[in-house]
Amino acid sequence: MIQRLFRLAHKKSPWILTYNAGGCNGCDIELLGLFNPRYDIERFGILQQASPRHADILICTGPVTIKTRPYLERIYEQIPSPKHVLVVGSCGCTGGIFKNAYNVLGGIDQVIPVDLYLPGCPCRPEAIFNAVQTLIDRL
Amino acid sequence: MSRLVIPIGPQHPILKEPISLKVEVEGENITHVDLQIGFVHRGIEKLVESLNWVQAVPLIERICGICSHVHTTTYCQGVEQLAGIEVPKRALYLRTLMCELERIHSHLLWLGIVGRNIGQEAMFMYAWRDRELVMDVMEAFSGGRVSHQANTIGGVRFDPSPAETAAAQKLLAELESKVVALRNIVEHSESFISRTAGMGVMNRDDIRRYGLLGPVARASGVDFDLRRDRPYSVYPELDFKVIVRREGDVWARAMVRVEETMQSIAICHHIINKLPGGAVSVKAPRRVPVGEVISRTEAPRGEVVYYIRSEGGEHPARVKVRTPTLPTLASFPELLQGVSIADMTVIISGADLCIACADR
Amino acid sequence: MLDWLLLTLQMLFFPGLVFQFAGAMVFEWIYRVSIASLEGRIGPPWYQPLMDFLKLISKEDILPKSANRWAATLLPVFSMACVFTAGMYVPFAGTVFDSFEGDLVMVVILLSVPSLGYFLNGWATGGSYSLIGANRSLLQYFSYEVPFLTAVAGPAFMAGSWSIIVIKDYQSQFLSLVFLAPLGFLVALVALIGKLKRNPFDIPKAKSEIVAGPLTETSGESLALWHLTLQVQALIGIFLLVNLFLGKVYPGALVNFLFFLGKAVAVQILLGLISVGYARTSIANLTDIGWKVLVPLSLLQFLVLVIVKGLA
Ligand code: SF4
Repeated sequence: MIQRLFRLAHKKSPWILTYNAGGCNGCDIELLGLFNPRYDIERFGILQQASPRHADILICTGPVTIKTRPYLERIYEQIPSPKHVLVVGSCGCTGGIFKNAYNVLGGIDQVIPVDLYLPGCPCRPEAIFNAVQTLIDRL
Repeated sequence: MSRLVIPIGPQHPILKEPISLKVEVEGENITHVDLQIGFVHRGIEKLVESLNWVQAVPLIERICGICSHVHTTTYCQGVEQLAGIEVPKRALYLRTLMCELERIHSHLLWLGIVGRNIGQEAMFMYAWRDRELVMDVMEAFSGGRVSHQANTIGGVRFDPSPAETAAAQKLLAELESKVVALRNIVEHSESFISRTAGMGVMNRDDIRRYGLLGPVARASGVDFDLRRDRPYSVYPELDFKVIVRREGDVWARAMVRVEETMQSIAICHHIINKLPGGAVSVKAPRRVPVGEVISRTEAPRGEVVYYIRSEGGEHPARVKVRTPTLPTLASFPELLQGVSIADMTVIISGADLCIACADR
Repeated sequence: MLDWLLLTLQMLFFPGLVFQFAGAMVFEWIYRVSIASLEGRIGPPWYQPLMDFLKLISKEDILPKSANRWAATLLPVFSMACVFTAGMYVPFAGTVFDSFEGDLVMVVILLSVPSLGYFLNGWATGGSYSLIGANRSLLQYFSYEVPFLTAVAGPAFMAGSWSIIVIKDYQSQFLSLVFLAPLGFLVALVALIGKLKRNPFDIPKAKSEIVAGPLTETSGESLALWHLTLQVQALIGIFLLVNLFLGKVYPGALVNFLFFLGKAVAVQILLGLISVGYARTSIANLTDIGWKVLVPLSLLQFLVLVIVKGLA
């Protein structure tokens, strides 16, 4: 019973933390756009948090560059479990358009485990929202 | 009081993108700033050389998500000049239209971010809500909200019908009234002024010393706008005002940006009214003759310069990009000296950084 | 025996834990929704604060190595206990658990304990954001506590008693005190915002400056308790203001209950309005506001009350 309640709470109150690991900020601004009155994602209890310790879902955009790699790892470690990672944007999934660039390691999954990939360059806010919902439903 | 080093970034709420500022504070005041950039350096300039002239366009668009169209415009403009392509008038008009739409989008985005960083969440909400209108216009034209894929060498890839432009004009008119409301907030809101006026003041000498560009320079009394002073594309045929202010603080930068947004809306109306008929693109040759060219445009954040060299092949031999954010970053260590942490966030966000542009 | 049973029930349900917990959740929701609707949004559903709380409770509680685990765990519990105790002594729609001469002073002191705990939490968990946030919260504490006390002393002086229930009953004979002491009410309201660390005085936890202030390194259960503490503190603070300044009692239990609730909700919405309308002040400004505006205003108000009482 209590377990069920907790699981419900996890679904109803996902707090997100965003991190740009090295993409163009196309996906980031669409992500931020989710909070504006047109999409108003707070309706579903989703809040953007500033500290990794308060977050449940890490949303990453962009491919991992050599320089951001250690930081990404550290941020991931700082999030208290249960934690989930959502990758937004083609370049975060596989490296995308930057795949062959010399300073790019590839997708986010080269560094930290990923729960859900959302391709698109850039992803529309609706798509991002749908991805978050899908991730929540899987919990 | 004891010294503390606080790491701002690479993950920090005031930054949309990663840079790292190691800020040494004494109590509330900053005594030293150690700036690190390069977190989003991907090596685009090198990657471009492995692609052919046309393939490079989508990649260059992804240098930066906010001013994506300006980057491709600058690139295409340079290549067209190098290859001697005569671009149809209609294409140039449409290209410029997109540039101005993007300026509106970028400035409103910035206004929202500043509002958020000074703790006025409502400002963020209003600015971003209104920004959705211009996103709609851009989407209706090109099919993309952020990346438009609108440019190609030899023209543009979208051809709006009269019905579409009329719809866009209606949205723009609606937007105009909203931007007027936002301007009133920026101009008169006591609490906004008290947080931004007198922050991060730079005079003309500072601007020159660091080579700052765009709205930041214009807010400090530097009367320079590439669109008027080195006109490219169809700007000579359009009339608009260049907004200049003398105060040089964050508030002046905000005013310049809001007024520029109004100007851009006017330009858009102007372009749509004047839009000539005809083709929107011509076929570009596969190879570009040997030579080099410098192409300059006025992006929302200032002047973007591309240096393009061709060795006669199917690939560019060198594409060098210079963006306006880098000099702004360089000015931070001095600018942030002695200010408090609260003011630091205002100054950083007031500069309108675009790290993806700066790092590439 | 029956006394003990009653006491336990009161502590557990009304006006104890359950009641205050539920009230805090509902009021937090009202706050968030009023902000959202002012910003042109819809806002979270009614169960949102509860879900947030449950989720945080069930999350892992990690702390950096440098943190003092004991202090970091005990501080939120202690602070929470203080606000809950304070809540027992603030009348809700005329009913109160217990009252004695001087309970107003006790409530005010208990309400300010969490601020101290908040400050200590910053030092206990370590991390540079937390330290700066802690220092800021202490500075803030000194600038709002004095005006708050002076403002609250006004009604006590008028009623000639330091007991909340007496002050409230005093008002039901005449008008609500807010008409006599509008400045005092305003000062107390502003100071309350400072106490609750809400926008525009969310300086100790300014998101865009120092991430989350003293709570940056706190996670899981402790964070949940901290949020709950602040929410209950908001509830009790609002009830206190309503009792002291808007205390007119209406005939009929139900009518009175509805009026009380309405007033409390109105105060909460007013807080939301202020938070939307103003940008965050800087810490230097806050001390200025506290000592150069609020303190003189509240003293002036006190003077007015003294004169009025002298005349009457
Ligand atoms: S997926 Fe595309 S739009 Fe998104 S960050 Fe990567 S390059 Fe930019």
